[in-house]
Amino acid sequence: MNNTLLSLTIAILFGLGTFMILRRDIIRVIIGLSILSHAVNMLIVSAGVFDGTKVPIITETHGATDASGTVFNDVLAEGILAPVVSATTHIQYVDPLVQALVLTAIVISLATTAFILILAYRIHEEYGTTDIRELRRLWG
Amino acid sequence: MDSFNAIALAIFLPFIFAGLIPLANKVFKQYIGWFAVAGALTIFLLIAKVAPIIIHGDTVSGGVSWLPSVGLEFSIYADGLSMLIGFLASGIGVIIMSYSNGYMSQKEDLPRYYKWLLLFMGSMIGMVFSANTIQLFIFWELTSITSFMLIGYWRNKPESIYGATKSLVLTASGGLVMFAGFLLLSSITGTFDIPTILHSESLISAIHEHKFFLLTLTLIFIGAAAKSAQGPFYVWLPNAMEAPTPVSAFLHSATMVKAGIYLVARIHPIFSGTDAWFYLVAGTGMATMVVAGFLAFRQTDIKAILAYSTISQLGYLMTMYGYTTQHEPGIGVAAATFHLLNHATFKACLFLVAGIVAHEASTRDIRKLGGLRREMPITFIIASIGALSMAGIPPLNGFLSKEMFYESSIEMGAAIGSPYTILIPAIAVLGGVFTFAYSIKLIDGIFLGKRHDDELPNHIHDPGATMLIPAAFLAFLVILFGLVPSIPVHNIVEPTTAGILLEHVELHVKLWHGFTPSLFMTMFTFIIGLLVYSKYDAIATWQDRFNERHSAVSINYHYDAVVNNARSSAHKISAIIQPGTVKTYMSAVLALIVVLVFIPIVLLGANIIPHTLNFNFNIAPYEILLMLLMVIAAIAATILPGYLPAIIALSALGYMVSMLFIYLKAPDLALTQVLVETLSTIIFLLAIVKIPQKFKETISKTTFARDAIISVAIASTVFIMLINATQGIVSPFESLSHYFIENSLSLAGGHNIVNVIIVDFRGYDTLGEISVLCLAALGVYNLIHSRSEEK
Amino acid sequence: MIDISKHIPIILIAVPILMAAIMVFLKSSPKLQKSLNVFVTLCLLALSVVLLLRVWTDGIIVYEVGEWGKYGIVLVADLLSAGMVVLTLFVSFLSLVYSLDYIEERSLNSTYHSLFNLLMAGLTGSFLTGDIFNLFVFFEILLLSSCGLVIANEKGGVTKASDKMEATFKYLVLSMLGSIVMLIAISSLYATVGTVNMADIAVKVSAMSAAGTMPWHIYPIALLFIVVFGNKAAIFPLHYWLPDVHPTAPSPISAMLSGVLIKVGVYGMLRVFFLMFRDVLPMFQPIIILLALVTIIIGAISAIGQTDVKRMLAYSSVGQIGYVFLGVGMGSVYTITAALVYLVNHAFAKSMLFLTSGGIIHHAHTRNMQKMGGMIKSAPLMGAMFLIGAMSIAGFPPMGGFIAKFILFDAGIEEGFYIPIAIALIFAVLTLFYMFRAWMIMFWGEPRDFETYGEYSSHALSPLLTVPIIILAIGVIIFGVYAEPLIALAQATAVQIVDPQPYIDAVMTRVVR
Repeated sequence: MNNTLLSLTIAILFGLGTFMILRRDIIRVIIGLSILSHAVNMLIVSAGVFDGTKVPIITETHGATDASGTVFNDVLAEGILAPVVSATTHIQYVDPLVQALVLTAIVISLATTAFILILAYRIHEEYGTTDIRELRRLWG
Repeated sequence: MDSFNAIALAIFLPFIFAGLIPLANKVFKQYIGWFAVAGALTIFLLIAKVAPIIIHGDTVSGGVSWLPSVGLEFSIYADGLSMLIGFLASGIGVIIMSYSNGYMSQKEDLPRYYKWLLLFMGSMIGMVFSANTIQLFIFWELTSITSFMLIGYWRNKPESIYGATKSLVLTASGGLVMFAGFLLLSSITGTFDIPTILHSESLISAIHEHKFFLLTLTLIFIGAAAKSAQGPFYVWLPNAMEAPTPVSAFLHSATMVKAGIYLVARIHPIFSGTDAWFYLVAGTGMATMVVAGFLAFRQTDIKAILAYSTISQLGYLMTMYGYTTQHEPGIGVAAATFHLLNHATFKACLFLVAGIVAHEASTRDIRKLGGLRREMPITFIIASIGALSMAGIPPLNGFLSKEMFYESSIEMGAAIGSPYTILIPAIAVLGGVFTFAYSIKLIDGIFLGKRHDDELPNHIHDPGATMLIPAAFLAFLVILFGLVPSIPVHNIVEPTTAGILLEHVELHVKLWHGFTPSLFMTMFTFIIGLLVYSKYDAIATWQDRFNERHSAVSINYHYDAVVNNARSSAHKISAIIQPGTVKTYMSAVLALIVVLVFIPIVLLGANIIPHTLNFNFNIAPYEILLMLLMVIAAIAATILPGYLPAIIALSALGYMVSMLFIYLKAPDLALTQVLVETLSTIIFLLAIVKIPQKFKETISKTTFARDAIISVAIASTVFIMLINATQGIVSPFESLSHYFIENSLSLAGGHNIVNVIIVDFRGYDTLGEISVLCLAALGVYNLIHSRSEEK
Repeated sequence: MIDISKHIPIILIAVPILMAAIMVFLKSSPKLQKSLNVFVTLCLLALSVVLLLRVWTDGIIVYEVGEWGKYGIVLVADLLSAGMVVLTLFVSFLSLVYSLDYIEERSLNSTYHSLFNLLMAGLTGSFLTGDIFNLFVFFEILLLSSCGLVIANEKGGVTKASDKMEATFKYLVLSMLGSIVMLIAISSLYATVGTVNMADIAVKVSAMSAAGTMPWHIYPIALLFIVVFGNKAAIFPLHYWLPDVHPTAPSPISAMLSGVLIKVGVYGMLRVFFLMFRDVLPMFQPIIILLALVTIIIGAISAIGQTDVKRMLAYSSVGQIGYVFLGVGMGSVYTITAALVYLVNHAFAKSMLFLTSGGIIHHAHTRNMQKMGGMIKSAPLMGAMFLIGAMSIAGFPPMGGFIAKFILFDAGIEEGFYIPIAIALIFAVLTLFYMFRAWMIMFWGEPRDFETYGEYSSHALSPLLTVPIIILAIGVIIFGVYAEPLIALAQATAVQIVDPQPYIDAVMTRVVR
């Protein structure tokens, strides 16, 4: 995957999302936030550090995951900052950690989006409009 | 009991007594005042117990651990100066509280009254015996708050509230300024302890040479001036007269306003002997003395006259403490100290008389009073003694200290030379003249002249003994100190002066000391004073007219303008800062993001496009297609005007993202993304079913330009961050993921590494994630059940 | 039998989450719900004190959730986090007790207890976690639970539902922006150093700095955390939500928000900058001092302009958090000690003031101070309590706020920050002014016009409302009269903050499988 192109796409999505959250219509603001959260999810995935090509699912039953000689224990006094990997090690998987983080982030953004949509509905009930400019009874 | 404990007890007993007041009120009922008197007397005796040591020339000091982390202890330092004010606070306290028993009606909230009086007394005593600046400041501010409470004693009256506010704003904020001065002082000297500084020549010279010398002095002096109503800060004192009269006598003439004087005397050894000291302290004092004395003329309320007189007299004290030269730092210290004592006696006496008059004649307006000498002969005599002492008539104590004032003025003038040789004594005499005039006015206006029968009640008589005896006692002191000056001078003035000057002092004060220049000055003062008095009403009228025409000259005018408009003008500012539109707020956040990213770029001169960036143009076409489709979907979601098309475009984007996840080898993500996207689209659709699209925004060109700039800025910021961050991990570090890849099967027994991370390695995150989902559900429940607006 | 004392960190987080679930099921028996929740919260408070004592005596405690060391998630209780947890649970406990009588029954029984527990879990979780991504998760818990609580109904209903909606919307939108920024920062950081464990990041960042391989983008990543935590702490220009949200929330929740929740931002700044990005500190400090001063100025001026008592208190919180950040920004052990002392004192005084404002609202049925007056006769206790709080916020001795201001100014002058301290001092005068003015408007003067605005409530406040306030007031006074334990604790904490090596050692020195 070409990182620069992906980065550019993410940046464009960020720009569009930002433009949307500055709109006056509540629903469009929420759409903007959704675009932003899509963009940020992609950003997290693109922050993965391996250039492997395999889905991070171990298909071999045994053997493939035998100890590779990687050091996992820190010894600060000796300057060993784990994990220390021998130069020959090549990871064939893509980075699994960022995927796990994104999974959490996706679900959380679903929760907040749902909440804010219901909130928008309630605001519409109270104010009778979706114009954010009308939402300024609290000021000063 | 040793001296340290006696003083510590004297500091804390008033607080304990005050705490016992509610309880005592149940026992003593209407005699609660005498309980307070007993308390004050105990404290007076405690200080008296220590007095012999101090008169002998020793000091009492000591401390107990309090805040060792910041190098503070609760410490006491008692010398002549603290003893003098301590005696005033407790002694006058006894007198005032006895008097209050007659003055305060039984209908008043007596427990509260005496509680705050006792608290004030404790604060005052605590302040004067404090050995470190922080402790001094604490008690200092306590006197401010107790004074505030007592001025606002009649708390439903707007005038009381006004006076209380003013005194608090000026004295407490002056206190904060002083506090800054104290902190500077401690940063210069490295200690909060006052005696340590006082007795260390090296520290004092370090202060004198320090670049912050003037700043420190000014800051501390502002606090003192605010407390003692000097310079422009005088304005609070006349309004403080809204307090019950005994309070005015106690706090606002005899003791609390002396706190500033006390502080000036306390720091005298540290800062005096410099030009700055003379100009600042004596200059402020002289200006205040003359101006306040002059302004007393237009007052009609007898308490107001006394208030201006107090300000003017405090100006005397400041002036005298300010007299300094490099060779002789304390020219006026002895005179000032003696006058401080004398002023406390005659002024408190006059205030008590004012209280008696107001109590009996039901008015304090000097235009309505008059001719009361026959009906109130005893009061008349007492008042005359007080007023004549203030005017400086022999053989009363005021005469003696004023003589000393003139003497030191001449000495000071001579010390700096022409034109001050004449100027300083002349200013002193001018102050004396005004004092003389308003002192006579008090007697003349209240007791002499014609009785205004239509303004006054029919039967006016001397009050009962509870009110008369305290005033008479003070008048007795006035005469005693005048006739036998050696008693106060040896027992109080000498130790005090020694405490200030840090050397042994012997004074010789006699009633008759020959035809000295100061005596001529006094006589001159009387003559001019009589002349001025003959024009008294004319001057007052002129002042009124002037004030009407040039209200901007008045400090009160500016104070009122600031305080009364504070809310509305602050609200104008806050309305600009907090306009209520969420768009503004978001713009601010977005701008901050951009700024924070660009600050390091500018400061580090960073190359924002990394060298190693390999713009690989060998891009697979389906990648371009996918990206293009995503951008198109996002643009569609942005520009499509209808809700429904926009939401469809948004969900298209979402599904595209899940395709990207597949492409990025993240099947779990793709799956989740599809599900979540479906769910959120459904919620979106449900929402827009309920929310009709009535509002349609028309984007003006300027809005568009502004928002576009922000968006482009954010986009480029993210882009810059991202291309730099994705340059790969900095060697020699490796990702934590190695661990997961290597161990997910062996340790956690799962093939799908992502799943293992979610449910095991970082299962705790997932717990949080689930909580968030539940929270959303709970929150939505609350939203739907929240009370709807009454229609 | 498991040794409970070893598991305190996770108990402090997991039990509230569990309680949240239990509370939903106990919906039909409100009495049991109330007493169970109060009891459990009290136990948690006791446990948190035990935790703090253990950290004090034995040093930093690290708890692995799972057994994966830094590869999983660790909870770290050093003095800062343990202290914050004690503070949180203390204020939470009192607010909870207060809520029992303050929140409307239906709201209380259905969701309030669950949301409140999750708020507590969010707070303790944020303070205790040693993992930056986990911090994000707990920030989201905090965000949604506080949103849910802000819209809870109080008895009497002085606050309009529309206001609550509007405030929550602003809060949510701005916080979501903050969350997005946090994710950008975290993922960029992960892409650069390959870890999300805070101690690990700290080690690696300092190793990069020592080796001279530090890429420049570490700096903007670090500074982006100002947006993240500034948003929580309401520092200018991220404070806009606070004056809307804190007043509209029910008073016990306002107390939680102003007392504890905004302190999460301070905690985060201390943690992230002083642990992880020590090389960014020279860039961070001037920025934060500048922002702190603007925050102080805006908070003080805006507070003067208010007529709504709770809105004034909210603006006061903005100003006061500026003082805390001033101490943080000056960055020495002494100034951070001062910031922490200030933080604790503000937490006490402001929670107390918000709880008191609840009592005042109960009494006067309005939040508008101009529609009050002369209440000292009818509500003397509230008058005394508000005065104590006002004095503390204004920095008046003998209240805790004075000690806090004293140490802060002393520390600032010692470090040579004359101009910032001068500005802070000037605005301390304004604080004094608006606090006392508010008190006088409400409690002195003639009672309001009863015909126009109605009588004051004649109901005496229940002990459920008054006791928490009185306890906090006692705390405020104790911190003013004898602050030594607090200062000593803050000092030890500040030493740990400024020298993070023990923290790093505690987390990193372990053997993982």
